[in-house]
Amino acid sequence: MIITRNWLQEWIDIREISSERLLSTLNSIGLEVDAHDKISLPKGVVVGLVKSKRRHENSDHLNVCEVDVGKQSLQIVCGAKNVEAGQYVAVSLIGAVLPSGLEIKPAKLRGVESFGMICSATELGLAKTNDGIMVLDSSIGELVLGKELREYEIFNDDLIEIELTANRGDCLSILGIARDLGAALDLPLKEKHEFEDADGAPGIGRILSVRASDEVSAKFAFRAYEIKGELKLNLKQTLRLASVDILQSCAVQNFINYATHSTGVLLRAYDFEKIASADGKVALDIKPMPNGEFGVYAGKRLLSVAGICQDAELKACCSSKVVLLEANYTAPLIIAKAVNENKGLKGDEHVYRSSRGSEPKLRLGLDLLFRLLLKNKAVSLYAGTQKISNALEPLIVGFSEKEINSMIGAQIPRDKIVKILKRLGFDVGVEADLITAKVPPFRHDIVNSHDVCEEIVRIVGIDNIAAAPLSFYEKNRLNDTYVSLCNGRKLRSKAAAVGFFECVHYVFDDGKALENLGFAPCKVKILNPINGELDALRPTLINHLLESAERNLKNSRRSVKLFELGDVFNADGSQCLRLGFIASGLKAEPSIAAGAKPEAVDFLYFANLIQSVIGKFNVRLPSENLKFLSEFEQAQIEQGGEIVGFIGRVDYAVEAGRDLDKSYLCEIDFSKLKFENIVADAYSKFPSVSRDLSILVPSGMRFERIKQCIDALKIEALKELIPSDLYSDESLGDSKSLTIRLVFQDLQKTLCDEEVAGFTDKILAALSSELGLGLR
Amino acid sequence: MQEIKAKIDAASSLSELEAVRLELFGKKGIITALFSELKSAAPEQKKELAVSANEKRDYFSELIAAKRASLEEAEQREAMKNEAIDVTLFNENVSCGALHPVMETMDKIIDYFIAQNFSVESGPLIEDDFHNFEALNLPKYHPARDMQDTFYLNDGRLLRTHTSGVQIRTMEKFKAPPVRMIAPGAVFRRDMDLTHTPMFHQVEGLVVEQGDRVSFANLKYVLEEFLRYMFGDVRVRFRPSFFPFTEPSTEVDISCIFCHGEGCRVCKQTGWLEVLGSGVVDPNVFKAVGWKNVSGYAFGLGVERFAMLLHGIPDLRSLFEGDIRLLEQFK
Repeated sequence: MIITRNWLQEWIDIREISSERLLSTLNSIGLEVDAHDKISLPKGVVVGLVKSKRRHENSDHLNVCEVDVGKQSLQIVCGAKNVEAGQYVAVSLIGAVLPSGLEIKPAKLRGVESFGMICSATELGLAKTNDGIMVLDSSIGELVLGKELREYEIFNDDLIEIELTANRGDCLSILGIARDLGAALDLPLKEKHEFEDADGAPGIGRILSVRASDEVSAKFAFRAYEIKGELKLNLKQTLRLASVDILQSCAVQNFINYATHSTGVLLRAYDFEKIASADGKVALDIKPMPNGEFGVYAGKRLLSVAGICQDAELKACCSSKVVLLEANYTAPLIIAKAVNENKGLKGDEHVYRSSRGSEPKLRLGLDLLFRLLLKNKAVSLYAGTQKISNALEPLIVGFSEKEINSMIGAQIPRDKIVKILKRLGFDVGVEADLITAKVPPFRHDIVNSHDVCEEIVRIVGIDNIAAAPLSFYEKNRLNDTYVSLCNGRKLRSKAAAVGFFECVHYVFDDGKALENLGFAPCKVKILNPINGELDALRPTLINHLLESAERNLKNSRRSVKLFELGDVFNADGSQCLRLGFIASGLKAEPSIAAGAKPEAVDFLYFANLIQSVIGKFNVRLPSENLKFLSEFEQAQIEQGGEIVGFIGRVDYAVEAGRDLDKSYLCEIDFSKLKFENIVADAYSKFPSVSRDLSILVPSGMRFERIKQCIDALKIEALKELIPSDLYSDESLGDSKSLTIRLVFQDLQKTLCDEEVAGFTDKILAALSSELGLGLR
Repeated sequence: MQEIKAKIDAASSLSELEAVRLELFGKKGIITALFSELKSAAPEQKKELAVSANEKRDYFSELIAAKRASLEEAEQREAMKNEAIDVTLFNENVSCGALHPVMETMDKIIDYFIAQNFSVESGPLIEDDFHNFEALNLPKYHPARDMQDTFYLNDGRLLRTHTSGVQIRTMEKFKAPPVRMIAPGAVFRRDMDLTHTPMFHQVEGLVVEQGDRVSFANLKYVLEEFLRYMFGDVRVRFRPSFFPFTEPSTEVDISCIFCHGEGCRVCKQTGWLEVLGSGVVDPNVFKAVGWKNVSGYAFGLGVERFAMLLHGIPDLRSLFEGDIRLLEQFK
């Protein structure tokens, strides 16, 4: 909603209020100022009168004008098509500097001297009013030749754009904003007298009859006027419409826009002749439509749907002879329901207002429009109004001073409450402790004492309410959600500490890409996805992690390590929290510290990083391989006896298809991770002894089998079993040499060499008999 | 003897020193010779000779030991010098990763309210119409539903457009006041341009007490304190606004942290930054969960907005792209 200070002045006397105070008041009462511009004109632009005009001898588009600017008469060459003798115009004198930076100097145009410039609105920095020069008229004030234009109020204005909240349809007009300001500044609204029909004007009843069925719970009012010449707005009206950006080419529509923007009353214009029946009369029928909205019919023809749309063919325009005006108020809920239920119903610019609540006092709009037209010689007005008014019962809200004050937490005296509400248009009654407020019809958003309280808070100003702490009972409020949050935070910090960057990705994902990775589509689908690449609920974190890894590699990263703790959706639509990791490319960016040529990431390196984040885990070979991981390097992660996730190398097809370097992925079901209290074991105070055994292992045999074989011996003193080296060369043929480090330690004593030898012999014997393995 | 001492002093390496030592103590060494002479010396001379030999032996032993220590130190220092790394080769290329600025900001927000004895609550991302709209005084066709362009799902539910639904879920869970909670989490709106992403994060707050104990003034207090905790010494401004589930409602601004209220590009020359929405809980919300004779306040904030302001991040969308060029700045 755009307003100008000058236009506001029509409804409320704010001459004493500075612009700064005006803006801060608007903000403090909840009418948020989105933008503020000063309208001002440069010095040296004055009123002039074109006394004569002649064609330039050497040009077919230039005119040479004699312009009277008061103390002198100037010869000015003007290129505008619309310049005519007898016009009052804006003349930039020699020395004036226009907003574009152009300085006016004496000039010679095709040999003819020119001493100034006749200006258009845009050349003066104003909104565009028309093609060609701006023609002045006395609507802006008495035209005095030579007077600086900047001294006229309309050229010395504030343009204020207000961002309205959805509940304040009543402020979609200059009047509405003036009313709110009046309450805040304690100023009365200017009285507007009702429009009185001229004696002898033909009555509208002669040409129009209106019928409405009983179900029509809305207000309609109709008037008519006849156009006899050229319908034109004056300069002030034109400038105002242009500055709030609603100026159109059709004068009929412009008058309507002016009245609506002023009062908030919704108006439409019909071309009378196009809808009149053979007898030259119009009979309107107003009937409810299928979704509760109201249609205006002439015979069988639907002229408009109240507050929603209109048949463009039957709209009045400047060439119409008789204009039939309709003012309407329909409750916002009816409009919203109709527009939402019937998608085929295309609303026009009325819907924005009607769905938020237009002004129900229709007379305000029609009277204003007729007052404007009355001054227009090209128009003759019909007398009287045809009305349908199925009035809405006014709502009365009751409350006490105490109730309001305990809501606010401050003491607002009753007199002040009453005064504020009266200024806002409420009818207020006081009886003992009870205050009753009859809600004005334009405030459909007010239904209870909380709404009334908001009005008080707004107008009093929140800054004037002192902040006060709330006393409350202490209570342990640390619940499961908090514990889970802390656990997540712990893991996230660890992940960052070992080199992963945290990502946040959308829970939307590319359905097609997910399918290619082998994920079953989720049963729950998005009906209106934002685009084709974000059309599915993600069942996994890994697709976005792959995308981000690829993006970083493209940005010449050599080492990419990312993680995300985020929600995904199972195939049945249930939500679950996952922790996902990706490492792609090198173990580190090349540097002196990391070595000039760091190695590519590998399984053990990656798995160790994951282990330092989520704690100790075992790997298990999966019974069924995941499609997006390499069949040669993938495993399930087991923690506390439960499979909590998977880990492995990205499959070749995915790696190549996405332009990735060697990459590893891991995804963990967060809810399955154990965050139990750790109970420490007793530890030995005696020295430990370690032995390295190098065994020949045929390639293809998993270490898991060797470990199981040794574990089965249940040697209590065996504290650690670490694969410490893996070696192969040609001499070993198809086998590999695996070095196992065995660490022995006894709780009670220092182990002697014979005991250790006994253990290693036992182990070697088992490896030989069970797996056929021997020392290298 | 003076000559030998000069040789010891002049030795410039451990091997040179060893050569001198052998000259003294080797098989044919001068000191060794003194002791062998002792054997054949006359008994009356023996004592005197022995004392002299011992003195010389001790004198040179000490001399050599001292020289060796000093030569060894010099040699170690030389080695240290040779293996020393130019300390200015150090750079900021630390090998750790970093937490995401949005998540870290959310943590910081949560910490404040935990310290104020708020509980942390959560709700599902897929919500039903009742919890996301209806119970929050957003009946069907309410124009404010348009403000939150919604993702609808094929099972009649939707992706939550705000964390406010957790207000309802928490009251249903608690069954009676008091409630003192925040609900952090992701929310979704069907909007994607320079300043909108279809997913972002909010933190919701709700306080409810029996009777009329909770007032607008209490809300003002907690938010003013909170915003100063987050942004330092800022001025806080409250503007009346509209949210269907609070009445009275207010939007909260802080004085611009970039220009300190002078007016700049970030605050669009207003000197103020909008950071929060809040208000006194609308009675219709309590009605939806069947609570009577209670009062409360609620607030909600956008975590991305906070993170962008705190860290001067210009592009909202960059927060969701996993781009290390942004993330590594938070190491």
